Amino acid sequence: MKMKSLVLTAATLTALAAPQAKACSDVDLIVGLYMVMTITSAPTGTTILAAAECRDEMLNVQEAAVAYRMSGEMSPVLQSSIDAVQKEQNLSAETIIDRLVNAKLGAE
Amino acid sequence: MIRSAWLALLVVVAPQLASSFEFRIETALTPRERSKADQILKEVSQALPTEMRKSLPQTFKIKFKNIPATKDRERLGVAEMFFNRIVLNEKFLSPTADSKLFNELNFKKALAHELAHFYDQANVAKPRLKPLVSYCEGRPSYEGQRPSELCEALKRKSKTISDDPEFKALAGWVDSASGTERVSSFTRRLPNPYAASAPHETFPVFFESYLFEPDFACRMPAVNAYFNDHFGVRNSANCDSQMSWYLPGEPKPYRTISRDRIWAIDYFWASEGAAGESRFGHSMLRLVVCAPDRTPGPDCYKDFNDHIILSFGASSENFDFGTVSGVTGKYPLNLHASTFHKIKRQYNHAELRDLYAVPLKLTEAQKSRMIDALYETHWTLNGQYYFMTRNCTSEISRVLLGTGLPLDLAFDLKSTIPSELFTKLLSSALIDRSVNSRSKLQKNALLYFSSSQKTVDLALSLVSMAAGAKVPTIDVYIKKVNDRAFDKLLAKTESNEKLLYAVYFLESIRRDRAMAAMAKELVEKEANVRQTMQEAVAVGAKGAFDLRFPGLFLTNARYGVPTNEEAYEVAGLVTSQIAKDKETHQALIGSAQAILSGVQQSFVDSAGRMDRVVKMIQSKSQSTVQ
Repeated sequence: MKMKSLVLTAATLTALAAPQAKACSDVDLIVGLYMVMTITSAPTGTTILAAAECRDEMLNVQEAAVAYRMSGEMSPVLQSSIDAVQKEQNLSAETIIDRLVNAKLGAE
Repeated sequence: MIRSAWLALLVVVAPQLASSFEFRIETALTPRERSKADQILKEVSQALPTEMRKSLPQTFKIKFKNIPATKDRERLGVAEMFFNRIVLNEKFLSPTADSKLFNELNFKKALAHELAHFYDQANVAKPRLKPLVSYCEGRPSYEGQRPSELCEALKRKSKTISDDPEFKALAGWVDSASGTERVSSFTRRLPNPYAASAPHETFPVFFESYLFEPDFACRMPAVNAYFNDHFGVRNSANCDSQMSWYLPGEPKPYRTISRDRIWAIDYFWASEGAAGESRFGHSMLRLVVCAPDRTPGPDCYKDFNDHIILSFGASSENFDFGTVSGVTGKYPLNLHASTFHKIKRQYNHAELRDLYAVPLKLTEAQKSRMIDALYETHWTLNGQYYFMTRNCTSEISRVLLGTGLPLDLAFDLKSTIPSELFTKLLSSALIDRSVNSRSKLQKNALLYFSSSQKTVDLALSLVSMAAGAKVPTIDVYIKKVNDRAFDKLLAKTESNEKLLYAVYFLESIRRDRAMAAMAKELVEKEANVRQTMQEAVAVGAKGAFDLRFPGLFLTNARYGVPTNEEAYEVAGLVTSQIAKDKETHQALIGSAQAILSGVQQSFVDSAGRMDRVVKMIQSKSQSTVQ
């Protein structure tokens, strides 16, 4: 059970520990490079380069964390990741959100 | 892991039926041949489903003779409908014939195959179709501007199973302007490639395996369920519940789940996009898979990390999708699986499109059939994508039609347009009334995922409030919020944490846009950089194309869905192919990565804005922790 949960939260935990860790194949990495080449500016423009590193879960959760900080509304996607992390680590939701946001900041 | 399957056909043949069903052998046989023939005929007769026996002629003439092989294959039997005669290849009785082909099992299967033709030809009306047929008989051919497609199909119906719309959908046949076509050109995993030769050969080929191969129930479970329903047979098959879904690009490209952990299936619709080809949205399906530590139930909707998104889509060897090629079937069509987060990222964020999940109200049997059909499709569909007619939506409509839904409902849902299917579903009996509109879905955070535009708008509204002036778009923010305006905003974040995160979010967009533009400029200006990137993209595109469809890695040692061993082998092959590609193109990939890293490293935010926002956030976080 423990191992399964670890797998489940691997992306989030990896991101918490090492913000720049890559989590995808080279094929997808190159697809990401292609995006950079062809899209001057995405509609939002956010994290195109980070997207090339394929951390979809991490990026979704980080955006949800920032939105939470702006609105005070917790999305189920964010809540789900917090729940998953809390199964492995004794951290408060606010601490996890702080770390999520700072994980991205650490990649600057 | 050893897969096991046990198929028990509980056929109860009334004595009077048994005695009235008779084979008359017309060929003079030796006692030994006669004995063998009698034994096979008896076994086949006893194996037939009762419902089938009732509809077959009472007497069949059986003839054994030399049937010349065609250029491609041996011919094992022929059904002579007019004479109620089945001609079987005499080699089945010869002790010297190729024992691999003319063995007892194939003898039985050949006879079952020809009997299936007779049953098919009888056009036996299924009880569930009778009310629809009556309804259609009293209905004008045209309803408004369009013919009722269901009534047209039922009026044309001349076979028991081969042209049953439900079976056709399940077996991968579709009607087109040029006749009935198979959606998939991939025949490696059919019980016999002959099944793909014509629509009326599919049922007999599948039926012979259904009747005499215990593994059929596990290899083609959706068709097996259809046959069980049709014949009123109760079937007990102890198949392995593990399913391996191929998720290209993920660190572990194969995800193995137990089928009983799929709690629900949603129609998953990406709303209209700005690009021409996405102006009607995109149709997908979501498998609501429960987390390993959760008891299956409605809470599985919260297990986003476990959900799998299925999408019928086209692939290109070079990412270059042309309209003409898209319309004329030049791109392959496959059923792709992705993680929820990948799809969310793509649509919500990169394309600023909303995602709606519409739970399908299916019975357990329908859900089970749909899961099996999707899984088989994932591993065996390799067809041609046609932008207008055979696309993400038409294929989901086909899956729904083959799921055992009431036919009138399934036909009402037929569509080739994503937004149309979305609308049709919302007003159908397949959707719960609590979620049957966009507005209702939007109130459910487990079923609606708004585009990142909502986050951008929230940030802009906070900035507008603080600035005392409307900042309506990100473009306006980038243009108007100069260093001086930024300083003022940042000062206000001291007492306004929401504003701090709004500024952070908008500044990250500004930075990423600038970096993307810088990368593009570099590519455009520097010929060597351009060449490297183009080569890297070509390699990446070709690699992704070659690895798009897991079925290509399967052998024809078995048919239908792979066993666990086969899936494991394919996973190994894919992994080694990725490693091989990586090794082959190591230098190129390294160069492309270095270019991108160079852009990131050389990017200097002139005013150091992000650094300043980051420091403020970090100091706030630290003070909170302390």
